[in-house]
Amino acid sequence: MSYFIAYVTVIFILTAILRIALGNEQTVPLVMISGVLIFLMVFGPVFFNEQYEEKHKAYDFLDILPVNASEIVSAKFGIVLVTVAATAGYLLLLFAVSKVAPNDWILVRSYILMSSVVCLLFAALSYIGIFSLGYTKFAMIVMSFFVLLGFVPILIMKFYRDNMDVFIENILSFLRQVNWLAVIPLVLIGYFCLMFIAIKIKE
Amino acid sequence: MDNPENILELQNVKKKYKGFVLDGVSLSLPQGYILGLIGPNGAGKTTTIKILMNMVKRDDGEVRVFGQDPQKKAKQIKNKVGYLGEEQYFYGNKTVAWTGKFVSTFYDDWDTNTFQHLLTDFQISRTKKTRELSKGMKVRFSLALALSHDPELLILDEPTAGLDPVIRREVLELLRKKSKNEGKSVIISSHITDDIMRTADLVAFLIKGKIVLASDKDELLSNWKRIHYKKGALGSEIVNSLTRRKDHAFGSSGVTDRYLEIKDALVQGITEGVVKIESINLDDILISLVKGA
Repeated sequence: MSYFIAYVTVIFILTAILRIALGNEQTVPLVMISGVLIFLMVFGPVFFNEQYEEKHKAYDFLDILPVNASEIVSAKFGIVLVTVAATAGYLLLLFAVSKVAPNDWILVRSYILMSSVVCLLFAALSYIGIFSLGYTKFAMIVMSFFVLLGFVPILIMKFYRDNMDVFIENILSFLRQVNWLAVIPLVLIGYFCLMFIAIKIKE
Repeated sequence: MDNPENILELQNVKKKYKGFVLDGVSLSLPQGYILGLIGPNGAGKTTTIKILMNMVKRDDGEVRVFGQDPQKKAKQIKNKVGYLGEEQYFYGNKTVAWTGKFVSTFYDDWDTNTFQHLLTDFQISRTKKTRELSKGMKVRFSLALALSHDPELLILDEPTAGLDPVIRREVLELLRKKSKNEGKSVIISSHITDDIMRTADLVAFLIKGKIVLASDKDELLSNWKRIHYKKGALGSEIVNSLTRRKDHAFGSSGVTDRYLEIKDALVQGITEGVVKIESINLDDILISLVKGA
């Protein structure tokens, strides 16, 4: 827990420093970095923690104690949810206090919320993968996935070579149009459904 | 099922793995008794015990621990059970004291004083990291953790495997005391029959996934004897009922599992010195059962 708090604190401080260093004119790069920061906030606790659990065969240890698998799994999902919500809230606050232009603000808000949604689902699917396959196997699959993900920008550039502006505009327009009031409850329902699947696997 | 005197009951429990079947295991343990589960490696002892702890899901059959099904009430059952497995797992980079504190948070009746006393009795340093503990220390530490919430039932899976004789004796002595002085029930699995011989009141032999024999230990040892006899000293019916029959220079011998039943028929031979009765131990019984299985 102490490692987790230290990790969160360091990332929060670094984000604030970055925000101050880049200033108000650099909103877009900082927004992009925000997505990475949310991902790091999820990736760190989920993967480092599960690696630690596997190294010490912690689930075998916990198995003999009077605690249900559902309590263990829901605690893990709960921590991820709180972490993502806190990080998204913190980032939104950083942008809110620095007087971002109204048009940019919609973009900033959408991008941060979209990153949060992706990270939440990534964490939930990661737990399902880890509980099904074990940490080591699943970590290898995720690494392979990230390697493949590296080719996505190349493919985008290949297909949109002459009209990258259109591609970017399409994304921005999508981000501006998303109705987050409708999306967030749906995502939370999906997240809790994945949590129940993870509990069933762990049981 | 649901005999209130029994602290645990298994009825026709089945579990299938690739290459192994736990085939209709039925067992019961009354309160205050020690049940020894004996069997060769791979017989299904650990699977049976893990089913009791809900660490393995059974395919069929019924299980009751404190009258409750472990698959439905695992948390409540584990709260009243002290478990010691063949392997001990801890967070290796954490200290003994930290681990004790961590484990204590899960139990309703954890007694820190008992835990501290046990650590002192077992000579375990509170500041040592758990990965620095030797095998014997780990077993004793696990036992301290298993006993600190005053469990009504102790479930021990090969607890003495890999221990030196001194620690083994200490552990078995402690179990005996817990049962006799405090009325705790114990189920202990082992392929070391000497451990069961020293501690158990009841024994069950598990071979190839089946309980082939379950009985009161003293009754079992009274019935299982090796008979040495000269040619013609025993009737053919008795001779044919003997297992592990051997002929040697001084006559023949074989093992019976119904000595009390045939005792009277042997009296004359014993008086004439042509029949001798030898007590056998659980090891011999296990070998007889394995060879006969």
